[in-house]
Amino acid sequence: MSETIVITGTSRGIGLQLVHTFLERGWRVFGCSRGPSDVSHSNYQHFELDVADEKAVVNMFGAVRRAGKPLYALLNNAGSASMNHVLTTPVETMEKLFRVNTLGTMICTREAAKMMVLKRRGRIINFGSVACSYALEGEAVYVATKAAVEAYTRVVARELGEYGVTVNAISPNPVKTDLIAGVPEAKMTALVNRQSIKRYGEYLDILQVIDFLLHPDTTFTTGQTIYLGGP
Amino acid sequence: MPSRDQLKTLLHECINDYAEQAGVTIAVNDDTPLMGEGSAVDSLGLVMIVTGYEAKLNETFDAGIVLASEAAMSMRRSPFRSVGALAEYAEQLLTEANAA
Repeated sequence: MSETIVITGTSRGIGLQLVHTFLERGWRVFGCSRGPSDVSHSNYQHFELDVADEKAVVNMFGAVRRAGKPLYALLNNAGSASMNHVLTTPVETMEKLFRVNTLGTMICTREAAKMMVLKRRGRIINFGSVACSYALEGEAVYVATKAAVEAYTRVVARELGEYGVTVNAISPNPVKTDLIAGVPEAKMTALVNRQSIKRYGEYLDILQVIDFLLHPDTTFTTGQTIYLGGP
Repeated sequence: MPSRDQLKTLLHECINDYAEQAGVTIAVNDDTPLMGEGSAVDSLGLVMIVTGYEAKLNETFDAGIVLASEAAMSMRRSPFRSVGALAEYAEQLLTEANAA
């Protein structure tokens, strides 16, 4: 199976690993991030953009359309986090997190879904967070943005279900990436200890769920949020 | 710039595609309503027609327009009210995109 996939937030971390994985599998990969990409591959095209910039996102999906092969999957991986007490969270931080995590997911989903419904086939995977299920203190705005993504996922799944497009969310537990680099170790240990399975997540944990959701035979699973590490 | 007739032809194709898939008959002319009373197109049908038309416009004219914008939704007279109005609106957006 060789398909076309759009992955957001591909300059580093999970997004970058996903790019390499799908390129190794022979997929045509379109990626984006605010900065440049080091990935150089004939099957990879990178866009430097802000996922909340509607015009830039529309142009990226225009390039996907012009590439000629139907878009099969979208991974809304781009995300940003910030630890703040609710009393000292600047409005700029609130806006930034909502733009990247929520608005970006919504715009990319809309543009991808426009292409998928016309082909009656597609897979959209959004990224939530276990921080939602833990109502994690210090992450009020981040949790709000991800809770919005999880709610959005359920509704979009209902609207696109009859067009052969599934929409799910994967909500990873802490994985050692830049996203949590600034969080104190003791805080992270406490968070991991809340999980059913008490360890950090690995890239392969995430990939396994993505592979399941992307599988062409996974046609009846939609509107779900999968929390890695357990509640 | 595409001619109005070209834009109408593309829209007619989208409506015919939708009609075929939905198993309905739609007589397409400029006054054909796409929403509201007397329209043979239901709300989901309108979504599919607009989505298909937008894709076709962007593909044909190498553009990046979005038909369902806040501006379109808040217009006193909806550009989605009829075939003629939608083609006219598409022409306006493509002209603006060309000028930008």
